[in-house]
Amino acid sequence: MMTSLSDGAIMTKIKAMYGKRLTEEQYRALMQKKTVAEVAAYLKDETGYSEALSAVQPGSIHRGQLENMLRKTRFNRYLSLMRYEFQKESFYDYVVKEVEIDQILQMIRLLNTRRPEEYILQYPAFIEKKAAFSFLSLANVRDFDGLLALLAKTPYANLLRQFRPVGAELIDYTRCEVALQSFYYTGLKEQIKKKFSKKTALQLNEIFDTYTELTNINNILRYKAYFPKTPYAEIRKSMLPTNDRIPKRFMDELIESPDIDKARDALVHSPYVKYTNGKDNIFIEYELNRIRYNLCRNYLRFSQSTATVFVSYMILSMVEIANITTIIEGIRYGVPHEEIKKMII
Amino acid sequence: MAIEKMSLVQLTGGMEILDETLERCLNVESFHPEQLSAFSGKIHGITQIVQESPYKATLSGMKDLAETAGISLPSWQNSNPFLHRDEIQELLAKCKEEISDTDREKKVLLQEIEKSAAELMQKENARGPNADFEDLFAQSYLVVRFGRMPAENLAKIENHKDNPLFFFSLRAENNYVWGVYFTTQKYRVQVDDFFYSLYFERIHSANHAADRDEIEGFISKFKDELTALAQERNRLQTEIEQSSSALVQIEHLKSLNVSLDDIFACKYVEVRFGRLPVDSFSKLKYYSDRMFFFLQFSEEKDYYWGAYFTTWEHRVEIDELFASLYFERVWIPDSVHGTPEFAKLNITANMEAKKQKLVDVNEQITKLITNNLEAFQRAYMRISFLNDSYDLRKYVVVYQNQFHLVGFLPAKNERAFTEHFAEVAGLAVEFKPPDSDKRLTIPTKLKNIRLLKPFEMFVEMYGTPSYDDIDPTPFVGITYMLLFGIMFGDLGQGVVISLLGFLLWKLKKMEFGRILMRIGASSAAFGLVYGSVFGLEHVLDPFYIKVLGLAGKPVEVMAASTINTLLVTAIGLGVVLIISSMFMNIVLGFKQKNYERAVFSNNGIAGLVFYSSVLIGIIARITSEKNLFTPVYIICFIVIPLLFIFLKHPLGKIAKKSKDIKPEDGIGSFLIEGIFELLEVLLSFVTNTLSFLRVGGFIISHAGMMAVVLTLTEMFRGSTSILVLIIGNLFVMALEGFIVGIQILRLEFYELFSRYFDGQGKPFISLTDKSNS
Repeated sequence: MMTSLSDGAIMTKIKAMYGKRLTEEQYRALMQKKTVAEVAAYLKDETGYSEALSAVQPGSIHRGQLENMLRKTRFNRYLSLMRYEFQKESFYDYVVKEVEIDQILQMIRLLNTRRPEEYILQYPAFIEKKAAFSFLSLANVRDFDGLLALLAKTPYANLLRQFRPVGAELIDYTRCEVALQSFYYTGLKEQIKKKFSKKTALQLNEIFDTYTELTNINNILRYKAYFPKTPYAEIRKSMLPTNDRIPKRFMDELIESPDIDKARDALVHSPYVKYTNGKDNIFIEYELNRIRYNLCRNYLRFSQSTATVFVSYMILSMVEIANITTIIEGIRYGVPHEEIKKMII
Repeated sequence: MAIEKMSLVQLTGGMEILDETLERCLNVESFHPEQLSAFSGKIHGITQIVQESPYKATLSGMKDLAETAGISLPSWQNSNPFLHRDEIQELLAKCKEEISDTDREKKVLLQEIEKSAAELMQKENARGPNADFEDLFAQSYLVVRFGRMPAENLAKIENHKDNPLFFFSLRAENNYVWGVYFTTQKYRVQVDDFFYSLYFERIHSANHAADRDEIEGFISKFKDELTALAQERNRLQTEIEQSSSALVQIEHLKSLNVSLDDIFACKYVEVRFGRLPVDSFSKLKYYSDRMFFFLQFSEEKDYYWGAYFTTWEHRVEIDELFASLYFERVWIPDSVHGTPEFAKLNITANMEAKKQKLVDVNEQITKLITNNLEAFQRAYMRISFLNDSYDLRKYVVVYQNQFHLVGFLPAKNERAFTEHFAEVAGLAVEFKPPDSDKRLTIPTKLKNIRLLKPFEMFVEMYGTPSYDDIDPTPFVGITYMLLFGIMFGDLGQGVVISLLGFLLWKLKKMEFGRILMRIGASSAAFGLVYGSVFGLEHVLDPFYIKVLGLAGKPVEVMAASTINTLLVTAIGLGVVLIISSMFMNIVLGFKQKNYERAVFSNNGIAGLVFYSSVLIGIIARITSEKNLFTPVYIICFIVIPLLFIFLKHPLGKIAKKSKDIKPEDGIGSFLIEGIFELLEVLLSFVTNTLSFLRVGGFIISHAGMMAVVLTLTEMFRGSTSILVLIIGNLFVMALEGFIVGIQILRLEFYELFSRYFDGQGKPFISLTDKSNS
């Protein structure tokens, strides 16, 4: 448990940071922009990102760099909150762990596509100092063994060792992802149980479980749509750990559906149908993030628990950056602003 | 003071007059169209017009352009978009009459007019009644412009008699003069310019396609010019930004004691100046085997300033590498020579020149926008009018090449409506009783005198009354003013509230301002009764004693004896209001032939008898110590009405002559529900009556709060005490004014409306209201 002093400080600082979020009016103004430079100028001059983007020259900044800087801003906000956290093994380290897993998975993807040299351009150098392994060294990895060697001192190596490919076969990305994500969520849940009160644990679990549950349903539907022959046991293995809020019977029905049509039928007759897009009943990222967004916004306003407010804020700020990225990409590719509007949360 | 009587109107005509009809619909006062297409699917042969408005794209383009140019967009309701055809003919006749007496030179013009008129008649006969006047005139030598201009500019035409033109005014309205001017093609530009300078607003013909083409042409030209200037501005801004970056770069290069010319003169070495994000800088180690080196000059937040050097043959690869690392290259202008110090002076001078040019371009943009502003706004009004009229097609159904449009309008407007459409040849306008089409719900338009009209807002907040309901606005208006005055009686504060209301209404057009004006006046009137001015309770005493000859002020709120009277009077007032509401419910019940509501319900005759009997009994007991509650009295006036209320559903069904009087959910459920409902009814009679105690309570609390303010005022001296008095008054007005306002609304909605008002009606929304919103 943190001290109440740091609790209060973090809570106050988060509320102040959240006050600088983009307003509806600012989103509208952003969507009206015609070029990436205009978006950069607007973010720099008119929004809560002013200070973070003060060095930016809107006319010459690259879209990728702008997005990088926004992500860096989020991470810097995280670091500034961490100044008030005095525990060594903090629950809040989960943010860094999330990035570490993401980087490993990214490298596995690149190894499978034989393009590991591209990693160097993608990794977020600003997080490197906090991470358990060097991202720059990760950029030098050229095969699975190299990856295991790099991660040797981290718990990730043991998790991944079992998936070592034989000969020229590809690395089983899905299994790696499930193993890493399961490790992440299990660890998170243990920490939640150990460190927080029942009420806070309930709130935190709701946030994380809602995400994992919907992701699981989404994944099943994808299996059914694109790989209907996948054995049921295989699908079960690819499920992320949850608190079993969804009835097992329903999950079984979904997993054991012979094809996508049957799976859709099962979904239509369940309460989860409201989270689908109505047409093909496939979960879409948008809905998933929207549910998370609403849940977190509610918690950020009303929860008394610092941990809940923290997690909510980190998710909300991630959604905000995703929205800005969507707008930037929309503008870059000439998408009409009504269409962009539909895509942002 | 009621609900406006309605008529159902059906417009029928051939498809060729659809556009004209719809345009006139937009201009007609109070017309509420109905969506017939909802029923059209059920009848064979009836189709709906489903077409995207052809004006939508132009309109959307204009909105975008207006936003870019910072032009405000007016509503077309602010202008009269076209003249009627007979008005044009009348105008022509008048012109001919007046020209006949003019000099020889102008007779040439007259001949042109006559020629055109003949042409007009001929072509009109040939083309039927839809011939386009302006189109015809455009073919002759003569130029005719219809339109309007500010009346004060009329005299200026007189001052320029030498101009080759005729102007004839047709009619004057709202500081504008409608008229027409004639000139020849030769002088067209000169005369058009002259009239433009007089703010002549040209009226376009009813030729939609021509209008759209003309407007699109204008918009495209305006957009092209604006875009060209905007591009020039952006180019200059970019160049200035680049120069500014170059300056910064050169500032960072100060430590470099080499002439830039020497660096750029290198034949085999390529150099790029710029800045690299800090995150990318750390990744350079990864590329240590590549053919480049990065020279870092200085560091600033998030970036390293510097230059990378590479060989000529590796330049493409290294440029790509640095681009992927988000290196922002700074272009050193060609004009830069010599050492950094020298180059700095050079760039500064160059940048200043560009800044001056940018100022010029910005001025040109402003001028372009100013020059086109009026024309743009006029074009926008025209296109948005055409778009709105096109949108009305959704209300239209077509059967055998005839369109049908149905809607409601106030019955008193029938004649004006017919006249408005009389000029559309081939259009049949048929009026019917409002309830003649059972598929349609008759919309409700409230009609109240000016004093009470603003209170319609409160009624609509709750719901719109049905067409056959009673309009509760007068009741709400009167009781609201009365209660507010009683609860917040203060002459000074009432006047201030009225003034505030007046300002809100005049400056912000807030409907609530008009309510404030009225309740402020009521507050002032009751302030006179209480003798209270800004909380000063005895300022008006001389007025009562010397002028009115009274012993003192009429009501002393804080006197111990008055407090009881006030509270009893408040309850008395509540009783009167509750009984009035019940009366209204009874009348409505009978009007709708709903006997359950009128006779048996707790707000019907049964409830009224019960409530008044109990009250009479209690009053008799208190005032004359006479006990009316005899067994007969109790059975007749209390038990039987309560039984009626208990059995209101089955009794209502019997009154309706319905055979099925059995409760739907069985007897048991009926009994339990009935008992609880009856208990609730009894309780609500008590609570609703006592609720009015707050009226008396607020009179006392107002006086109490002002007494506190005065005590505080007395604690200070001089100007401070006046300041405390002012702040105290403002505080009480803001706090108590709000609370009292909300409490009365609560009494109206909860204690009174719930007894007689359903608010299930459909509001009458005329097309003009819709377009405005």
